[in-house]
Amino acid sequence: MGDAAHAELLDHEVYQKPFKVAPDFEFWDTPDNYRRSHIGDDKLPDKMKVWRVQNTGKDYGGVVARAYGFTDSPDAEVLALGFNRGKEYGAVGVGRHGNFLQWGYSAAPSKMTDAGKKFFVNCVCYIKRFDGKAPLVRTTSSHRLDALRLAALINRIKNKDFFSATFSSDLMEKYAADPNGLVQYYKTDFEMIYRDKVYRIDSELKSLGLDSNRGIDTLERLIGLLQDKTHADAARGLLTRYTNESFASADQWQHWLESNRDRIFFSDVGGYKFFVAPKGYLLPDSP
Amino acid sequence: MLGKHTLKGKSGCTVLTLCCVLVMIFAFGCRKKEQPQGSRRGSSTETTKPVPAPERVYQADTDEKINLRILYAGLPNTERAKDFTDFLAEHFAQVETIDYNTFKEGQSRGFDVVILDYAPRPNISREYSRATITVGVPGADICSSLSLKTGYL
Repeated sequence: MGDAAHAELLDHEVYQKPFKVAPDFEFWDTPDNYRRSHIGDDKLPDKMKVWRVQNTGKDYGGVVARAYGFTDSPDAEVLALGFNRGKEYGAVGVGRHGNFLQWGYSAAPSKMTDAGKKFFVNCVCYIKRFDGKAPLVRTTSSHRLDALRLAALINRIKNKDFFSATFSSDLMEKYAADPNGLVQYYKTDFEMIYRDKVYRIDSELKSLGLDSNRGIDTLERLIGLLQDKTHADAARGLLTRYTNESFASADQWQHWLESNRDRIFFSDVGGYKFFVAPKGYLLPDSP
Repeated sequence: MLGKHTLKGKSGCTVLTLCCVLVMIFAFGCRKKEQPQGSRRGSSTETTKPVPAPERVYQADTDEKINLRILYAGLPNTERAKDFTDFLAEHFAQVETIDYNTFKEGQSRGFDVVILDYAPRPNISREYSRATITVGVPGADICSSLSLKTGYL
């Protein structure tokens, strides 16, 4: 990452106080790496609206974090998309995870633009609100979008060991020369992707008629199925797969769900599990 | 007595008149200085040109710096560290510095925000929860070592 950020997130409060960040905008050519790594069906524009955070004149020196799964837990948020020439569009130039705010730009303040300086001061003030709020999840896995991104490379990376922790040997063999086919395989059951050593489609969940592994209604259905003798074992196995809980009875599961419903979230990055945010965590005090 | 008095009265009147003139000149002078402000206020509403919102909540006055205590962990005696601390001191009530090579998480006690500027991986536990800014590639490296989403990959 170099000097610039994309203009998308300027309505976030971190751009409003204590300083109003009002940058000058420019339109820069869309980098080729954005096109290469673009997963969606839409077409990226030829130019993108950016603003300069700093003025080093270099298009390197800073760093962005991967976009995939960054916001799949409520303890993390993107504060600036970094204009970069290495990763995907949407990669994070400035982001927060728990009590940590990563400022991906490289320059000291004297090389920051006026808007960049204000943004930095605002970031210092903003992160204060998250003092004592350590992250809820840690990165233990990679997001399901990574399955699609890597599937598109299946015929371009010749060292198959590269994919040994990504795709099963069966899939690698079947789609060795067909990246589009492999991408489509995961796209078709995108909501059923999980990781167990490699990216898998949850056929057990599908067989129960569920359409996603990450919705709160999935938890409700699985807990409900604990009362059904035919499916209770399968439901129990799936609850073990997707939570860190191990209640003995259906009533205990139900009580857990009802007590925490508003604070339950699912994170791919955290390990394809449902987690519960502690009470009060999601409502940081006003500054 | 009366003559003297009259004379005295005449000269008093002259002095009084001069004083009045001076006061009026002064008063009109002040008013002239004030008028443009008043007319600016008036014209800004009349022309419906929006008055830009103040960009700073905190004024430059040193008494009104942002009331946060900042611990800057950088590499001492470098231009970069000076650059950062000068900048931070402009805006924040208290800024202290420390060598990032000797930073221990316990030293963050008593500070509102810690800035780890280009610090190579300090020894930070997963229990550490002080509001902290990590900077640049080394910052992302710290985040990676703590398995944070803000990490390098």
